[in-house]
Amino acid sequence: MATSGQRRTQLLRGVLDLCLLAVIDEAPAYGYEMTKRLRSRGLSIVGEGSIYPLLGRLERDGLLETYRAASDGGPPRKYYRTSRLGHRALVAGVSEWRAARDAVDSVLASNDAEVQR
Amino acid sequence: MIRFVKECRREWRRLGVPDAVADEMAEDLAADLEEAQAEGVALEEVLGGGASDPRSFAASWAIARGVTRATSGSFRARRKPPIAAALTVLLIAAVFAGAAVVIFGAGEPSSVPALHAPNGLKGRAPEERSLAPPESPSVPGLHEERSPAPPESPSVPALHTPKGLKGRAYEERSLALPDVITTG
Repeated sequence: MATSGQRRTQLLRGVLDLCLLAVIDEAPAYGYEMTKRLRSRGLSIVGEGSIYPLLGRLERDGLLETYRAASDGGPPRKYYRTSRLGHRALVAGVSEWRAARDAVDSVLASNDAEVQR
Repeated sequence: MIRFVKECRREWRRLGVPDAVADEMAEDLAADLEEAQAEGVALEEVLGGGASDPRSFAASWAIARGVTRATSGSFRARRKPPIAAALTVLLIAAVFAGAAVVIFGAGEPSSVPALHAPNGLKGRAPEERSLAPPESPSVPGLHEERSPAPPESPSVPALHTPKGLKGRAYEERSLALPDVITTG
């Protein structure tokens, strides 16, 4: 049986690319900005893999586009935005996640009463 | 944090990441880490588990982007010519070998049966070969004459007869040869 930390890591690893696509789809962002957006929603990546390799892969797969622009009071940064393909992948990914989540919920629902007791 | 970026830069150089790409990645990373530091955010909060291993972090990022020497298109392009050259040499060698078989094989039609001749007949086989009627179409009359002559005809079948009959078969063939020659 995986420990709590291990399970969290495994769960996050499976959906971190989807979460990145989601926060970038809201508005273009540079690397650290994405980390802040994820953290503000309770998703810290401490102990998990960095977002940079993921960003590289998503860019290489054509799901993200990049451009350079000045950041607020800082040096020019590399901004990421979702491509059309990336947006479609996000929609499909969200659907898959919800289906998986619902299935797991229905399996675990029988234990709810047990947990509350 | 600057040291972290420097170590990443060194790893990218080792992996053959083009300088322009490595510079861009290093600049972006340094800017992110400086901003995080200014906000009092720990390195681990930005880099996750990669914070403790800059080389591994740098390598995984470069590989994911497809900019290492092993994954970049330019490197593959440099590796193609030797492979293509090797294939070309093999192809040319095969063509020459095929041509040699066709040329030399056609030039000595009777040499092939001689190779199949039993050991005991080897010494006499050349005589038979010189007397043997050519099967090539360059002697049209020969075909007309040979077709009615039933068992005595070609020398090749006799060479494939069972061991016990080899001597007789050869004699039969030898007797048949003069007939063939006169018809020519």
